[in-house]
Amino acid sequence: MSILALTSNTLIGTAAAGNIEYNGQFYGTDSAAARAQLQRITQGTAVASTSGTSIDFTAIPAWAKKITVMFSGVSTNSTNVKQIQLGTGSTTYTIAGYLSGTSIMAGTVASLNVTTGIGVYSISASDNLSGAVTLFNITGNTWVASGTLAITGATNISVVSSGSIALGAALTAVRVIGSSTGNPADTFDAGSINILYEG
Amino acid sequence: MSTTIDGSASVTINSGAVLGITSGTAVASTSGASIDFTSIPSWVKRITLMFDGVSLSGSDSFLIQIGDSGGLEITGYNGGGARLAVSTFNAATFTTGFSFNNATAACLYSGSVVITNVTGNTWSAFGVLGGSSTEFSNITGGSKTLSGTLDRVSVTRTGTNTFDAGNINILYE
Repeated sequence: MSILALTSNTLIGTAAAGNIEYNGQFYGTDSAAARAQLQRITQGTAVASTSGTSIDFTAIPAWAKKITVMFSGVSTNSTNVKQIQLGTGSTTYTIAGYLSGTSIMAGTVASLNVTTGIGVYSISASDNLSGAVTLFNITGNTWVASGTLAITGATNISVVSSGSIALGAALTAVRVIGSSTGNPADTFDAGSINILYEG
Repeated sequence: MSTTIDGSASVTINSGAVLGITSGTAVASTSGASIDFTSIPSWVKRITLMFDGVSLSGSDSFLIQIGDSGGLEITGYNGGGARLAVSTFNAATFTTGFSFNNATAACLYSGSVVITNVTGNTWSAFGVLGGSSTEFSNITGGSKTLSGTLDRVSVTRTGTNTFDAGNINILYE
């Protein structure tokens, strides 16, 4: 394998079109002379949320600035709120200190605050959650979250989720649980969960 | 900073980040009437505004405005927002920016708003903020066609309140 190390501003290719440019960030210019910053999205491995009390994604790299947690028909055996918790090191999940709100919208609205995770409202054990919550690194080890999901089951409902948490160290993991506390409690019984991360 | 391009791992920066999303500089939203982010590059197609425990001194609503080299545009938005409380919601339309219809001074708001380029100088926005007390969830959506190329984003308010807590930052890509 050959390696080209760039330690100063560099243009690879032609100046007008078809190049990769480095000046602290990478840019690509296509054959139409359209220049844009380059990036890549990394997909995790989907986990079947059909058993167990937590779905964990670990080894998230330190350079990630955006993590999308995707739900496809996720269900537990309880009505408790679903929670997304962030972890550090190898691996300690933060289970307190979140500033989070979540609401469910059908014919009426119901809302709650959650401090043990980023909350995702749920009202029935027959709920199947589909949608996504995206985590963004605002600065340092502080993350904010926003998401929208649908519940299909006994009724068709929309859910919104948002919040923030200041971690004590760099994020390395994301966990999804169902619980009335910060500890895993409910058993997953349907669906799958995966993440995308990008930096 | 070392940078490596190789045949198996594409482009890596500092042996980690693969190409990238650009972070702005977080601004403490603890005073003043607006938090501004300028010099946004013309190639940007998506901007994420991030709120961490942001608060206003009174019952105004947050108002997000975008602009170009001529300045922030303060009219012509197709916007709507709603606050979702424990069992009720209040919604409103907004033409002066993207707003949430939030209205509680003591509340700290966290979440994000994603502003995406539809085509040309037309941008759409959607977002969710969670509140620390009676403002459980706040949602916004809308669109705006600028007269020129977007180069700035501002978070302000619908009245005369001042910011008194939190941090705001942007990502762009």
